[in-house]
Amino acid sequence: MSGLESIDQLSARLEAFNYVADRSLSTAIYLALKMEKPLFLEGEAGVGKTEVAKVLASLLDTNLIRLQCYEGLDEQKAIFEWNYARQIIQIRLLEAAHVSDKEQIAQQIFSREFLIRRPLLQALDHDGDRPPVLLIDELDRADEEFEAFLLEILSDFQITIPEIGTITARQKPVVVITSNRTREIHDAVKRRCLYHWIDYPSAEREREIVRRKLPAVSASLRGQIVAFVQAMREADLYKLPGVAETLDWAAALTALGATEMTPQHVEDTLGTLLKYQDDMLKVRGEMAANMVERAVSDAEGVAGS
Amino acid sequence: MVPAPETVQTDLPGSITTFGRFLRAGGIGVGAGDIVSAVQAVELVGVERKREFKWALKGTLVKQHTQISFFDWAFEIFWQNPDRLQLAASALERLAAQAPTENVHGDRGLGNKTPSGRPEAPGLPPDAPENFDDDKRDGMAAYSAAESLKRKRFDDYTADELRQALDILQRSDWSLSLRRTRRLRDGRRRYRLSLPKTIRKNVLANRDFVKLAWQERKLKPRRMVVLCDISGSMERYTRVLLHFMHTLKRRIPNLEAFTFGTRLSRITNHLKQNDVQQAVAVIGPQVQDWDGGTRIGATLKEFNFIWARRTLGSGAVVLVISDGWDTGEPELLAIEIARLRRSCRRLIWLNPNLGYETYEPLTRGIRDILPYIDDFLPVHNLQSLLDLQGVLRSLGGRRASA
Repeated sequence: MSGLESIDQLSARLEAFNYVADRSLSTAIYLALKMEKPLFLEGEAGVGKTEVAKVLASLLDTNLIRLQCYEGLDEQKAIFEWNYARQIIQIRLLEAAHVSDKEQIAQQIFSREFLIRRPLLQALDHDGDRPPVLLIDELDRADEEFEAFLLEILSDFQITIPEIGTITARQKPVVVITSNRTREIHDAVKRRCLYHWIDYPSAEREREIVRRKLPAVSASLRGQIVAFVQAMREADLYKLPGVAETLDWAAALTALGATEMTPQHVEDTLGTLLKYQDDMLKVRGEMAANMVERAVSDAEGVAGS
Repeated sequence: MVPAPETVQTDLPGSITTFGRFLRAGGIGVGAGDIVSAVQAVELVGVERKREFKWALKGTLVKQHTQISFFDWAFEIFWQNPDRLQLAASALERLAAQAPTENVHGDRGLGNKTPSGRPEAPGLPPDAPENFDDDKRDGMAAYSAAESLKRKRFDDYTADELRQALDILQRSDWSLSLRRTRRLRDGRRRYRLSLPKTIRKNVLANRDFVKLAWQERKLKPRRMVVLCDISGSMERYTRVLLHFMHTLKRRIPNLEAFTFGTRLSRITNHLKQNDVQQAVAVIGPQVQDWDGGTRIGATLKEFNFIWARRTLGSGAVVLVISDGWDTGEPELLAIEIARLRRSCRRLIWLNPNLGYETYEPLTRGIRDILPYIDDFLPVHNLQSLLDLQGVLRSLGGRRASA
């Protein structure tokens, strides 16, 4: 991990990879890397939690191994599974060769050769030069029972397969866990991690994010977009737009050839920003027009200063 | 004639003992051990439903098929209203004199070899009727007092009655229907083939894969959220309802509980306290607006914004307890109740006013929300709360209308 000897260095590297982190997030990432502890990121949807793992993988020049969580996710999909089709064929082959010793057959078909590595095992059993980044995405979507499987992996970086034995990571992967907080994750998991809450970015940081991600957007439009979105986060909406929505919206406006924000543009593209019908009805019309007006003047203020 | 209500709880075992003696006098061999089991059985089923109460006694006290018809007769006599006590006593006397014949038809079947129908009925001890008289009165009174306690409105309770009611509430069985999760476990129901186990079972060659192992979906209790109105108009019910929530929390560990009036307070953690008095004492000052107005719309909105996503995942049941007196904006209430309905599996509204026979949901607040409610139920007396048990246990299918 050369070039990562301080938080400032890390911040600079993150920016070089187009991820604009605030100081607290940089600190959390720095500590996670240095202490070799998993990083647990919580925050509203679209604030760049998943992005952290992706950027870390590019920054560390290593593989990203991703486990998307969902209800019903089990060990066979997350850790390892036996290759049943191959096992059955092998049994048939042995049968044809008149091998009938049960022990011998079992030993053959329950060996590493017949193992399908799922993301968690891949991360521990990784044979690259550098440790991989393991992203366990949206852990809150998995069942509580699944968290228990993570405990051994997160604290000891090892997995036990009954037929083979314990597999310990030669190099500890960089682990990033994200949660949208649709339920509380058990303390036992959190205790093994460094916890960080990612908030919505400040206007200044958000402008920087748009600038880096979408260089084609003009400075004035960028300022207006960010001012509008920031104002919207203050509004009484059910689902506030995240940074991902800001970027989508900026891309949509650019695609429509807009150079300045107008109420008509907002009207046409509101769907990229708001995802609930109730919120759309609320913002449409007068409120949107007022907000555009204010965003335009705010942006001028920033540009002028 | 009407006994002091405090006899309800304490005298039930005594009454059952007397009933046992009553049966013994009639020829059913009831031992001390049977009485103990009968008391235990009644504690388990409760006295709220006469049928179950009867079955509990029958299952523990009757040992032979031939005794059933006598038991049925004795049960009706003994646990009915006090006026018939004298009748019962004299009936018993008559019974002692001659074995009744009118019950024979009820005894057809196994083991009924003796034509008299009640072969082991001995003579009644001569002093029995006098003894029964006092004891029995208590027994019957106990049953009917418990019954009337359940029908009495919460707001008419004396302090003593309240204590008894809370006791009954606490001892009753609260559970929530189960939902099928997406997690699998080994089982008999054929949801998915368990390949690892199937392979293992069939490792031995020279055979087809005939032994299949299956996985079924795991069951889990549903999640549940209670939102309880504690504003001024609900004051008379607040105590009972806090106790009710405490009891629920003990039986349904993943329950989330909130109170509201002018603002929303989460009381889940307070309810974890073992001692209910202490829990209520802590909650009181915390939630503050016991007697303020009600802004149901605004508080539901707060719930929808902050808590809904965290507490209403995977088919939760929402229980709102309120009389619907809303001092906030009605439009907001309609919007938020609609949103709440969309984010839960079942929305149950308990309204104490529904217990008044003349009550019609005319207040603006209630009329606006009715279309969004799955179950609109009363919560004015103990019986209505106990009836809720059945509803919670049988929440199965999806709601009828989308």
